[in-house]
Amino acid sequence: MMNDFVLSTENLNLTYGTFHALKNVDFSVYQNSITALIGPSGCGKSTLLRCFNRMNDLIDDVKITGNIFVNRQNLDDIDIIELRKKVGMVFQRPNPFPFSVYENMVYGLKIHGMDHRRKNHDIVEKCLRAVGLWEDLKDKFHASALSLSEEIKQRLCIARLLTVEPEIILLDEPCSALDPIATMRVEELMIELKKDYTILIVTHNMQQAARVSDYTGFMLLGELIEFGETSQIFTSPQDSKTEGYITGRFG
Amino acid sequence: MIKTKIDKEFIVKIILTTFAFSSLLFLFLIFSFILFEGLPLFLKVGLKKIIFGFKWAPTKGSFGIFPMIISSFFVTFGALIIGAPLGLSCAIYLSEYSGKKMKMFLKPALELLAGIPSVVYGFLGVIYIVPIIRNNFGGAGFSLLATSIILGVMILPTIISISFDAIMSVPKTYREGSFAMGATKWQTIYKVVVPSARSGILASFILGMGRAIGETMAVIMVAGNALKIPTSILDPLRTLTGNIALELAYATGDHRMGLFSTGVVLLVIIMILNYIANFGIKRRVIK
Ligand SMILES: Nc1ncnc2c1ncn2[C@@H]1O[C@H](COP(=O)(O)OP(=O)(O)O)[C@@H](O)[C@H]1O
Ligand SMILES: [Mg+2]
Repeated sequence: MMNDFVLSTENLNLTYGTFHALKNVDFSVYQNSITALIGPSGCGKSTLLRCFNRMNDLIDDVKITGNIFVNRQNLDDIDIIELRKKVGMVFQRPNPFPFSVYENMVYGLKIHGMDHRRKNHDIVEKCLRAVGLWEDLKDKFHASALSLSEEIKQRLCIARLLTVEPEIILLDEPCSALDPIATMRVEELMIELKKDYTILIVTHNMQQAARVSDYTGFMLLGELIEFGETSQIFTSPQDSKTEGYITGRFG
Repeated sequence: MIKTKIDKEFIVKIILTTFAFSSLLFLFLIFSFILFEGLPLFLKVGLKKIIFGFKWAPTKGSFGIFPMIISSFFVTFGALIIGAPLGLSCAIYLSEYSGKKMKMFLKPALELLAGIPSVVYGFLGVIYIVPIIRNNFGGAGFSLLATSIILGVMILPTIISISFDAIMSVPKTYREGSFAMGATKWQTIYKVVVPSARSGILASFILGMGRAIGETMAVIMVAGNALKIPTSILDPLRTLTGNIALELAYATGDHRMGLFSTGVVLLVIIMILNYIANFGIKRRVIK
């Protein structure tokens, strides 16, 4: 089972105009695991993450070559709407819509035509429970999502994704706007979610990668330098650059 | 030496402050002048008889401006019915769909539209819109419909530029959040972007209404100026502004005061609209 990868790339190259942001990346993410991407700022972690739900499409002047697979299916053969439903994304800054908690939670259901008055409430409850927010928010359905704390906003954004039943969740530095205690709780949530989802997380926080992930990829200047089990990467890195980074010689 | 320098600074400051406050002073003067001229008639004839009176015969002691109040509201809403969907669509196109080049071409064109004198709009209305209405729908052509169309076009720049700013100020992260969930561009626009910008968009509608209700020249030219409440969109009508502009040249005594009372009512309506619009904009900024 551990060898089932749900995301992978083959010889992936990406350029922003003339800037070569990803260089020959071969990368895989295994089912029901947490994979972390680490590396210094600007090395292409977010860019690689955003390849999997085609968020780079929103940027002009992006060229991608090589192959990207989601569930062993070539990305080019997947309808973009279906893809983004299957591969959800959580951003660096929590970005709930400026609507009520409930409106945020049913947004995905509405846009995918899965909106059924009677079932909505159950789905909302289930997903809020999954992120540990049910007790906090069950009486606040009509409160503005913008009035919540940063941690709760970020959890709400995760819950919002779960409503459309994704299989994979991409998280781009999801804790960078949170304090240490909230960070710890979100990390616990990720481990919890791993049972049902496959998780790919970008982080510049090495301790975080070490704490939560099963696999780690180390990137530098657009290249995936090393990829392997987290324990191996952190205890016996094969590449001297990886070692340099995790021992804090640069970064 | 140092002392004279401070004095100069001080004088500059005093002069600038005076100029800055002079605009406020003008506002105050205009306001008190209109009130001063218009209020006595309210006291003499009674507020109710003026605002709810149906008959305007100022030389015979009837000062009812109710039909004009209603007519002003009709043309304002008519203008909004035409201008709001057009203006909002245009703002959405500009902000979400047009490329940089198109934007660079359209924005100045819009500013030009705002700069066309209202008499030109009236003129075009008389030459084109009025005959088209007369020939296709009957009546004289000078009508609520003609006025609404002209005003609807005249308020476009206001609606477009303010809605555009409101839509552009919706954070990119909302759009990304929506796309990342699999929403299409259009779903993102009408379910996230427009609702997020709603207070600014509403403010643009209200400021557009303020512009429509205050417009005079173009309205006189196409409205027909009849003194009754229109019962169909093809009926002629007379607005509050039209009333003042048409009669002020020859009015004296109580008649003149009656026109100032019309002005007071107009001023109050516009103040209310501005207040609502500002309220909307402020709420958006604070949020
Ligand atoms: N939209 C863009 N246009 C041009 N260059 C970009 C764009 N987004 C990112 N880059 C560049 O690509 C490189 C990788 O960016 P990113 O993937 O965001 O890095 P990371 O997430 O590892 O910090 C950076 O050097 C950045 O400047
Ligand atoms: Mg990044």
